[in-house]
Amino acid sequence: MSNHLMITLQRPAQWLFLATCLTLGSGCASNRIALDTDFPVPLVASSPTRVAIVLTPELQNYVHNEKISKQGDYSINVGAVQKRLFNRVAQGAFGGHTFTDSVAATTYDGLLVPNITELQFATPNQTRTDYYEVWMRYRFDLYDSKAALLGSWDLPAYGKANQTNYSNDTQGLYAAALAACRDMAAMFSLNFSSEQLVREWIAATAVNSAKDSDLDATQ
Amino acid sequence: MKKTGKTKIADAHSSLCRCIILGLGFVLLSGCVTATVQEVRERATGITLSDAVVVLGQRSRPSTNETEIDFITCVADNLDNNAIKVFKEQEFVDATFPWFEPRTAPVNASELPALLDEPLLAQRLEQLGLRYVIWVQGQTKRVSQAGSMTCGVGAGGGGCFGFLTWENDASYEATIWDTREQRAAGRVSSDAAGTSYMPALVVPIPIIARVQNNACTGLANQLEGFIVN
Repeated sequence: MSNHLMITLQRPAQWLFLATCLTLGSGCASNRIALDTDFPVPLVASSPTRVAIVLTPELQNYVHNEKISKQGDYSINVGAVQKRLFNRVAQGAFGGHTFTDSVAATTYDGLLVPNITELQFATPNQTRTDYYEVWMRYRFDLYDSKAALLGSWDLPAYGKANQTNYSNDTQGLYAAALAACRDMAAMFSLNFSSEQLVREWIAATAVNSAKDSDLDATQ
Repeated sequence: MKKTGKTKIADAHSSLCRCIILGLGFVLLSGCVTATVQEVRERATGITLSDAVVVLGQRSRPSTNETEIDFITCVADNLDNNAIKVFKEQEFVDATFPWFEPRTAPVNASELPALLDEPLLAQRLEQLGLRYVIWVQGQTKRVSQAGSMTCGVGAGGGGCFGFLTWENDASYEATIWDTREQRAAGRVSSDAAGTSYMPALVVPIPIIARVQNNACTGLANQLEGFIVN
């Protein structure tokens, strides 16, 4: 038996197979999750404002890396889908939008700078529940058309996925991260106009537009 | 290479035999399942060819027992026929985004009128021809298990010896909301329980009780009767 084993392991392909088995068997697999999907346009009454959305490199390259003992390495890339996500949100929520990469004076009514300030996740092994969970915290900075900061607000987002629907951590966390992004899009599109800061900005924008129209009429 | 007529007939016979053996094997190796279906009707229902329904899993927070996605798909697939048009869950949730997301979806039928007051949503539901929203909640759980099995591999081959048994219990309830009446129309529940076995004498032979599948078909059939009325 031992002779047979020795002969078998002299073959490189079988060494590789054995190494793979040992790696997988040790339970320290590497889980790389990269969201790659599209999102629906929110079915909400759009605000009349036109915004320039500033997509910073930090947002678009956002990757959360974490090592969990006895479980392995986790890498969750949510940055790559942020442009698609905000494009869909803006199509439903605003009268018009464009994307830019820096805060600077614009012909639009204002500038909106979204950022992910925090991402946490949990697996069923950690929480002893049936769920993969992802929490994200977005921070939105709002600037007027002259690039003066008007204020900021935070938007927490949460997504969960039942482990019975997914065969491994990668699939479960993908579904939970996707649910968290959709949650942000849903809450942003429904509540954007009711933020105090945003209400004041929309009112100011409307006043400025009216003044501009009056000025045009007198000329 | 062209096949002769005799070869074709022989192939057909061979395929038929294989199907029969597989079918018999499947039937004989299925465990027994006890299923119960009940309904509570609150108002009259009916459906026309232009109406559609959607089957949704109850995923509102703080729910701790979400229904399996494959169960929702199974009910929707079984319900979808010439008489009833059924939307796929994800397709519907995307078409009505963001109103049926976990944090925004209505929890009770009493929230339905306010939701349908949203002009854009009401317009979209009208376009889709949605008549009934069916919310499904429940799960299939393993309630007990017993036995043990040992498997080994040696120079001369391998094999397993032992006996395993486990009992699954499925309990689901569907609540039907009528979007035209803006009220709940009734509830249908489906419960099933069954014991699976796996004896092993060299080769393990699984005798699986298809508990979830029974609960699904029972629920879908009852829902069809309930909606068509």
